[in-house]
Amino acid sequence: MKWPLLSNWNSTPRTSRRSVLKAMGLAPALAPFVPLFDAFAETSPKRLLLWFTPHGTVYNKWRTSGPAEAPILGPIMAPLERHKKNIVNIENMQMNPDRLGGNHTKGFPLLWTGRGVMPGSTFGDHGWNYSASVDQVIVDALNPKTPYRSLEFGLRSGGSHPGRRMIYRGSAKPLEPEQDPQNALKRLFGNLGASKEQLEAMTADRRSLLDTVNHDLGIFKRKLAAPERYKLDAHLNAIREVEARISLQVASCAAPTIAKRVDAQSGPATPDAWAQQMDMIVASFACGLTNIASMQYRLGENDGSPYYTWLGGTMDHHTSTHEPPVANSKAWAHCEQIYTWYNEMFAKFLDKMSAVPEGNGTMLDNTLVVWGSEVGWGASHAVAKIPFIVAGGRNHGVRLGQSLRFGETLVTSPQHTRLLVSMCHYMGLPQIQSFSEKDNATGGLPGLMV
Amino acid sequence: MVLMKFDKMAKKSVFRLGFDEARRVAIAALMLPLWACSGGESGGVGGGGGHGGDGSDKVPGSGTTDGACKDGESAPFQLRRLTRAQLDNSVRDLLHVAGLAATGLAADEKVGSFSSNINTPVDAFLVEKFEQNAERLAAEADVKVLANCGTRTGIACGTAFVSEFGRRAFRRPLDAEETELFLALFKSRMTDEDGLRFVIRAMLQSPNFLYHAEFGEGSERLTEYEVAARLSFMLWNTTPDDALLDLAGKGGLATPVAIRTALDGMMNDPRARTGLRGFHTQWLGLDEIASLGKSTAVFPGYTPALNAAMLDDAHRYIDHAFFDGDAHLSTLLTTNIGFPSPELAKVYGVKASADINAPVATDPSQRAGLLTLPAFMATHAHPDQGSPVKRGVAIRQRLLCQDLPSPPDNVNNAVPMPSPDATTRERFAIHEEDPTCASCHLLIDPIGLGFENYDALGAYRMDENGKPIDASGELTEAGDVDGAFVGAVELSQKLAGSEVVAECMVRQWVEYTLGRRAGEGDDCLIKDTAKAFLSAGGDVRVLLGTLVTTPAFYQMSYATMKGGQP
Repeated sequence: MKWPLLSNWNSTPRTSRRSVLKAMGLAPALAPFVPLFDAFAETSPKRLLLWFTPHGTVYNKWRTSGPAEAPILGPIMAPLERHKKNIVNIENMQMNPDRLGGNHTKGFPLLWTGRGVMPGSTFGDHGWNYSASVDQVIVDALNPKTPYRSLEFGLRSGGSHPGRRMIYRGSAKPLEPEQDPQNALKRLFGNLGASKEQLEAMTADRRSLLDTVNHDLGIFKRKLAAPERYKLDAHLNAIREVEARISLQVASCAAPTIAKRVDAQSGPATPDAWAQQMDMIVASFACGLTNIASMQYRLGENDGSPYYTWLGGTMDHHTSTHEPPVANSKAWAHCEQIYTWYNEMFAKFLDKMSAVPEGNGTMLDNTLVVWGSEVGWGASHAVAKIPFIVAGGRNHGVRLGQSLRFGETLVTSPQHTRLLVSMCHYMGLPQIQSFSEKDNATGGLPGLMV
Repeated sequence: MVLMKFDKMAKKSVFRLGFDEARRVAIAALMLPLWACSGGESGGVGGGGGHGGDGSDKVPGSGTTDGACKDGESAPFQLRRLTRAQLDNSVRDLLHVAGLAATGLAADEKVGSFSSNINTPVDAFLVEKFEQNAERLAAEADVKVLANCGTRTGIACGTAFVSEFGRRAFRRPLDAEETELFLALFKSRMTDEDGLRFVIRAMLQSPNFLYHAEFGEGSERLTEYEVAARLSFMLWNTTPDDALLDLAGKGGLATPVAIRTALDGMMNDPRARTGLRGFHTQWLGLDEIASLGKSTAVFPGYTPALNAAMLDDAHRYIDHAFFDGDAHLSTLLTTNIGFPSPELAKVYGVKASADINAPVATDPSQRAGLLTLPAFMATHAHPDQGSPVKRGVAIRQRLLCQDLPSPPDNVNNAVPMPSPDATTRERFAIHEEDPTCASCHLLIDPIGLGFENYDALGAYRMDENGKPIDASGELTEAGDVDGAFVGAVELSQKLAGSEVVAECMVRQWVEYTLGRRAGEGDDCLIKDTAKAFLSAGGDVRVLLGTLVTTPAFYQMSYATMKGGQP
């Protein structure tokens, strides 16, 4: 078996990969491969994970009380009680928007790119996003040698539209999230379990086919009018990216398992499918497929039906947020239920990350997890008081277990671009001091890092 | 000339201006009658472009120079990837397998109302999906039947297959370089069968299959094979069959008249049902229905199966209008029949037919065509209540082709809550009282309130909360349909006879066929085609027949035909 690209990998010495495998209950059959990736693994790899849920929160039930250094969680955040020492909630963060599109739509690219949507008519009264999202800016700067530069996961995230995509390589270049854990399993871990001979044959077949497609794209591109060739260049680059990782991914890890097959597109299967996507993320990190990933639950545009039937919902999330704030509003009570459940799912994800030992701590200690939303609250469409939560990253200087409370006015509350800059700093890019042309200040988010 | 200026401005600026400005401009444009065009786009090439629907050689209105529409540049050519439905349908026709080609791919991009993958380039994620799907489909195919090699084996079999299957998959014959490329793959395998599957795997990942490959033939004019593909995807939403490719191969699509004749023939094929269903469901937004749900608190017993029944009803209604009816716009908008399942029959308030293919007559005072279908009413509604806003917007955007700007940032756009002692009309009155709302909502709500007889499922109702329904509505700033009306039946009848609606329908077909927004440069062809459409009494087949004879259809782009640069 040949390992043509191994020499390109960052190979910081480490020892604990075998123990990670053991902790995950991975098959002894993998033992022959273990030394291979021990060689390139790191003890405490810096990782970034972006996490999204739609339509903000019910702010006053979300925010903390008590001392900022030992905060008391609001009822919506109650499920995170067991991870209290692993999180920071950030209060009164705003996103200064470009003024175009509906707020759910423009807030979405805004969340991780710092800019909204461009003028244009592609989507009625607006176009695509302006610029790359923070994770892709980091990817471009670090040029990681992991098999995947980054991995995008989603669940019921809809189609290609700025209100439904949050990760961008550049303007009008959304990255498609993998929305089905079964597909993720097959795509990322599908070759595992095959014999050495089978792997070699599969790899050779794919290379041969991709070579042909590559050649065919070249012929096609020659015939195409120059202004449209960029689409073929992107396609060609994508093929090169896939070719580069073919032989790496087959050897690097063992597949996680999916105990219960569900239709990831169906509403009622959401709790199971989401948990399975979490397993895919954790396994992708543990196996060294990438160090940068995202999880987009639903979409920035209206989180409409189907309902949260597993919470007893008889009205969809988006509509519920638009109900007026009257006393004992059933719709608002339902919203609180939904947001509390988001916190439960987030806590479950943190459980999974904390269960993987890594270096002197856990996977969570090495991973900066940032949870955001496209608006602060659905009905007002306000891009203020976005309920940001940061989790993990203790090994690399995140000051966890506190509440960062900023001034309540738009003048005194910082733009979320500070947080985007902090992510760059965390990942080893101190030279980045502002994010996007609309950024009105510099530096990372005060108080976040040690 | 002042009018012309407004018209031109409106086309490019409704999206970009502040609302008051955009409204004034858009509306000024819509107040115009259907101006005739210079016909400049229809002369000079192909000997007969721009035929009118009446079969005469003369473009309706050609020769007039009142300037209401002027020759302009169409959007430059843009490379599109096949939509999910096009991939699925094409693979079904190419391989005769049950498997789907679009598994795991992103939902299509929407351009206007229609699916068109025109913006987002292929990334590594998609490349891996293409690989996986191609491998699965090639394994599923019965290659012995597909290749039809007979007694030929080895290279002879492979060569024939690359040539024949290649022509179907790429929608044109392969050249020598391509043949060699794919034959090499065949030769690299141990057995013929394996070789054939390997060729299929590669071709399903080829740009010639995945994209609408249009290059012209050293000019802006599409090749006849490319015209065949455009025809096929327009009317059948799938890849052209051997007969259509044969026609292209022997010069049978060289003139606009021949293209039109081919289209007329294709209308008799069952695949036309697929394509026409596709256009109409996207045009009216009904393709969103699968993702909608209704409140089980308000509608006990509601299940998503009802959505499927609504869509099926709409599909059969469209089939009926085209293949059992006269395919006229008025037929689409005013026929009072339905094809309800037993559950949907309850919504209609009729008895379901024992045979789902047999139409059930509905009450002519309650139902008239597409706009009163439960599918349309339920799509443009909230889960728990109807929506005068969604319905008004749907009419403005989909029937009148007027795009509306988003609400301003700082408004509270909460939907007024259902209340036990008020009607929807009473609750939505706030939109007219509050001046920040009124500037937009006066264009929207008075239309939407005309649908008050239909609840969130599209069931007809005479009263709400014990109060009688007032379904009076009004169209304003909508050209020839301006004026008061009562209820959706009367509204449908007004729209069915409107030139503005006819022109809008042409615009929608242009956007659907070309997979891009219609721009200023398309005005003349739209107006010309609308003329032909109207002179044929609103026969949609004439609309399509006329559209395919315009340069917009058989050219890469439009301005270059007149000597401009691409």
